[in-house]
Amino acid sequence: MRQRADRVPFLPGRRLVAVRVTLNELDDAVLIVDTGAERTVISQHLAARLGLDQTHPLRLQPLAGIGQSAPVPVVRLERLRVGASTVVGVEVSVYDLPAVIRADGLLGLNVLNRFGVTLDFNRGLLILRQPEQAH
Amino acid sequence: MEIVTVAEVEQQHPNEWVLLEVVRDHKDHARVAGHLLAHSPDRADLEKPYQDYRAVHSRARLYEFYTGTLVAEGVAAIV
Repeated sequence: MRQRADRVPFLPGRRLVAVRVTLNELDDAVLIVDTGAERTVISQHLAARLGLDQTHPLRLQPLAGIGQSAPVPVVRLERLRVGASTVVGVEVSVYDLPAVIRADGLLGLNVLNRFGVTLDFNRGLLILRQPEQAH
Repeated sequence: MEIVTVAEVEQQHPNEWVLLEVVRDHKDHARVAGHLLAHSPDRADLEKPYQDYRAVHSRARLYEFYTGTLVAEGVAAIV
C-alpha cells in the first residue's frame, strides 16, 4: 500500500492552526484544525452563503465543549476540499464561534479521520496521507 | 481587474477582512491570487459586495478572510 501525502501550509502568524478550505467548490474559508472536535463546524454566515438548508437539517444536536450549546443544525456539505484532498458528503454542525475568533469554523475529526494526519509545527504543515491502491 | 496575491493583500490591508475572487489557486494561502473585491475592518461591510458579485458570478470562487491574527488581542482561544 502506497500513500500520497498532501502538504497543506497553515495560515502563517495566526496563533491557531488554521487552513483554507473550499466548500462546495464555491466559497473558500478559514477553518481551525481541531482534533478535539468530533465534527466539522461552519458558521451560520457561511452556511447561509452556501445555501444549506438550516430549517430542515439532518438533525439538531447540541455541541459540548467547555460549555454546551443549544441543539444546532447538522447539515451535509456536498464537498469539502483542503489542499488537494477532497471529502464528499461531509456532515457539519452550523454554529458561530465567538466573534473574537476570526475564523469560519472548525475542521474536525469527521474530515481529519479520513486521512493519516501529521501536524508538523516546525514546517507549519498539515500533512494528509490518503491510502492508494498499489499498482 | 488587477490580480493580486493574498500576500500582497495582507501587506496592503493589515488587520482587515478581505473578499477575494480566487482566480489562481495554490495550497499555500499566501500564494493564492485573485481579484480584490472588497476590504474593511468591519466584516459586515463585505456582505453587500459578496451578494452583488455572487448575483452576477454564480460560480465564482470567493474567499473571505481576516488578514491579522485569528484571535483578538488579550484573548486565549481554547477551541
